[in-house]
Amino acid sequence: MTSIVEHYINGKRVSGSGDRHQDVFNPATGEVTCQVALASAATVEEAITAAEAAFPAWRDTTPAKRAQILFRYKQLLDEHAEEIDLLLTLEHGKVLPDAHGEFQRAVEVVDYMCGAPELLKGEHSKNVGPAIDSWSERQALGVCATITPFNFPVMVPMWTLIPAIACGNTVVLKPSEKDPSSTFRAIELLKEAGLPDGVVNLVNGDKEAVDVLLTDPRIQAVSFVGSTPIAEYIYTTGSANGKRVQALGGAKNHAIIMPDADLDNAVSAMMGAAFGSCGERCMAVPVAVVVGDETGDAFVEKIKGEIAGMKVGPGTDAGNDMGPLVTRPHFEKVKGYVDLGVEEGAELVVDGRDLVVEGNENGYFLGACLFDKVTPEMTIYQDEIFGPVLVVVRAKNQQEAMDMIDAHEFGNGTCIFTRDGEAARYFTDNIQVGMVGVNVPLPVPVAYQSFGGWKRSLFGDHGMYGKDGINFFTRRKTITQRWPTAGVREGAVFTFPSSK
Amino acid sequence: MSEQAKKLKYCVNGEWNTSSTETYMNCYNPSTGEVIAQAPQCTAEEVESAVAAAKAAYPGWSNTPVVKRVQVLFKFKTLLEKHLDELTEILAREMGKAWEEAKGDVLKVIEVVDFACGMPHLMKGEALMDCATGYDTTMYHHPVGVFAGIAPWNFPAMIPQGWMAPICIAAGNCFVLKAASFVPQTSMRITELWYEAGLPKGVLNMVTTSRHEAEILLEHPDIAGVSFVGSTKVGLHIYSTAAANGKRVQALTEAKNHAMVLEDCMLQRTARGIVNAFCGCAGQRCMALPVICVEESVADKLVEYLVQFSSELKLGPAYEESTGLGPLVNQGHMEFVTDWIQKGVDEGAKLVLDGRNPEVPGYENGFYVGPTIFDHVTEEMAVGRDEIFGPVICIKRIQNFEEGLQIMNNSEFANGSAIYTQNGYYAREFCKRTHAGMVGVNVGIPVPLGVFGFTGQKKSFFGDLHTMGKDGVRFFTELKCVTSTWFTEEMATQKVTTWDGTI
Repeated sequence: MTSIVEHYINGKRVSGSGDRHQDVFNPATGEVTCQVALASAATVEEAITAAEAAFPAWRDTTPAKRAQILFRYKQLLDEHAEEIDLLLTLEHGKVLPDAHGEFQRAVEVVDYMCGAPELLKGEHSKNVGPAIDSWSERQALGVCATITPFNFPVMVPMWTLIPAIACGNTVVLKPSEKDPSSTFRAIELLKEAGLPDGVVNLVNGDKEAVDVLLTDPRIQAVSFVGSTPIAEYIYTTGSANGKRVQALGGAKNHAIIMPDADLDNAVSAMMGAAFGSCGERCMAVPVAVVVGDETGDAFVEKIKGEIAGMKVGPGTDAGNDMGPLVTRPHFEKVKGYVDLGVEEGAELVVDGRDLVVEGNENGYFLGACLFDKVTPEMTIYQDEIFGPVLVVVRAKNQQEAMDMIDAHEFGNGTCIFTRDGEAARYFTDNIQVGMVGVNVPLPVPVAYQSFGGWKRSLFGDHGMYGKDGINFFTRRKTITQRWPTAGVREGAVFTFPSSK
Repeated sequence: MSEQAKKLKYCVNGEWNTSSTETYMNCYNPSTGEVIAQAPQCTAEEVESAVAAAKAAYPGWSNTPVVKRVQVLFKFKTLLEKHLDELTEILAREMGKAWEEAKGDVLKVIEVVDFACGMPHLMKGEALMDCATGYDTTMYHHPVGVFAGIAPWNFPAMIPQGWMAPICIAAGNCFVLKAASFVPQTSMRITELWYEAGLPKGVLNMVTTSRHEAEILLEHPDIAGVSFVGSTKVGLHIYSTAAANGKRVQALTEAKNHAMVLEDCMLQRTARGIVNAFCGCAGQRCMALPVICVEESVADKLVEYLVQFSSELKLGPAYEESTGLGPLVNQGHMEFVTDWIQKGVDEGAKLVLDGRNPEVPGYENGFYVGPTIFDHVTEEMAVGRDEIFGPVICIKRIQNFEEGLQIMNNSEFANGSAIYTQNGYYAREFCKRTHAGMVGVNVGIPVPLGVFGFTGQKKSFFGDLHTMGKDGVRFFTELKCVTSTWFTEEMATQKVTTWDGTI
């Protein structure tokens, strides 16, 4: 009898009426581990109702009291780290140390939002006019929806729901149906931390659930992370229904490797950036733009050698560098891109398609793949592949490399490897990308800054967490106040008031 | 002495040492009058060793990334919560304030620790690209070095371990605390918890000394700043001496907070608030409310309520949960307060409720003074002007708002003030024109939450950066502005102007 991961509404696990179900797999073995419920519209509406009911009391809970719950939640997360890491790896596939890294980044957002009393302060001006004071407050919105992707089943939900509740909102979370269990466990711990029922609700589901969240008038804000086509759909539909939306989409991050770069360092960095987590990250770096053929040849030679030493296998074995891809359809899609790259005429330097992991023959394992002499016309250059496929593009100089990046559809992350400060400054100043690294291939901002790319990597104007998180999940109210003269003392005034 | 009064130690470099001094200072249980411990008068060498340990620990601690530093504070918070009752008991026993007040003292530590956990975002600097073409400026917040804290006896936990240590330490500095000689034990236990939370050795050091050795801290070249709370006289001395030695100083001193009570206030609720404000912690707070300026029309009724509600307070030992009002901190202070009450009588104030020599059965040797109310206090009387620091309240009768405000603003102190009224106009006028730095509207003790600063003014404070809040962060950090530019090949031959291109 397979267990079903269902929903969490009003502080309880619930079955939805009219739900469909779908299998959840262990990508390392290809076996079905459980099922997940796909919520019907009625179930989602039930969650929204619970969130709506919980809002008034939560909104009126002081920021300091809300912060105490987050301090307690941080403690609980730390106590349950191993348990959650394992649930994550068993469904997503990433290696355990990687799962734990994701977990720690999630806790950092909780750490930051413990500062809610300070972060929610408004601004005050005395005497904006004679005897008139004015101040701004940041007030909660109401019920917020957050829709999160498969690749970070713990971290991305925390990116959004923690700022949302710290700001006084209530939440309906719809995580990925591909790997629901670690998310579910993390949400259950909120109640143990003292969070009142109904403040955070979780519904598992697919498009049917999402469409309810985009159209229900009670939802004030929608936060999304996923692919660009869906991000665009979420943004336009949510906005058309009068909601504020932030929708983070896809990426095809480029790294520029300059001739003066420390090449060993760059190669080492690119290994992690391209193949870490099987390349299933919106901050992965799957394009290496190498300046100059001498550097290009040296880079390819070195990284080829490094790839040969990679250990690929189940994520539960912490000695592995890389686990499987998340599902069989995704595996087929990524493999299809490799086939396409060969057809398009790119040079397949390392072919990971023939990888077999003994004992895990039914797992979705793809070995790391390396293409050289890729050009911008190729599909494998343009599309987000979201797999362990690194393409090398040759450029004549820095400007050409930068022009390539600027011309691309996406603008999430980028990096330059160089020892030259001037080159670095020119790059950081001019490149049309939101998160920029100098000798740092994964420039993911820390929890007290904010995360967001440019162009079609982000629809909306607020990034995630940090100050942007506060601003997205609150709205400003500006109050202008004056007190007429003494009043009580003067008694009723029947004549027209005039200034004395 | 009851049992063998234990000889306390001092803490340097994470280790508790027995002092080599011959002189020990008595620590009493104010509820019973017994000596419960003895604090060493640490020697000059021992104080020096504390500073040296802090200095040695500084490079390692200041170079630890701030996100890692605050993990110690997150753990420290959970330990404080876990040991809350234990700390409350130690505090009540050594200082005398009632149970809930003692607990509040410790909770206020946690409040600032919560705030200091946000040091990663609080220490963010500012940056501007292209200040001049091709020039960027980044401004960083840096820790400074070693700070000294000199703490008073009235808040054995909140002031040294709340106002001073958490922000100082989270910002990357090291700290030498000279704890109050009468009441060091709560602070010592909390220091143990800091180390249990993973604080590296030497980041926090603790001594008890006489004034003489404390001077070392004001002049020591390795101490960058001094934080002080205590009397105005000592505060001024510390402020000027430390400043003369090139250190940054914040000195929080005395108060004589006044509240204005207007005729339209909710009188009964106001009276209850006032009783809490003048009797809480037996009046031993710089935010106590020992003077009321009340409109004549409601004065009689207010005094009646004050007498009634004050008389309901049960005097007793601090650590018994039924106690509403605990003892004063020691014999000397009890005599100080009773002398003031006599002075008030001699000056001609009307003694409506006399708290001297109260009966507290079973605790005859404790340092008790009951609630004391003077009415018809006038501006010539010192009892209405100077800080008494006991459960003594003075009623000044006024004709109107303007008169009340004038009296209040004439005070040399400006720590806190309050107005009780239902009227928005007068509330606003009051807030705008009162000299006090911490103002209450229908709040008798308007101590700001830890995310704001403790902002007293005039002779209640010397310096320009207060404790807690953003001021606290600024006091414990310094700013560094970095201007950078990168050269291209073409620039090799260009002329460099006097402003080096930055204009």
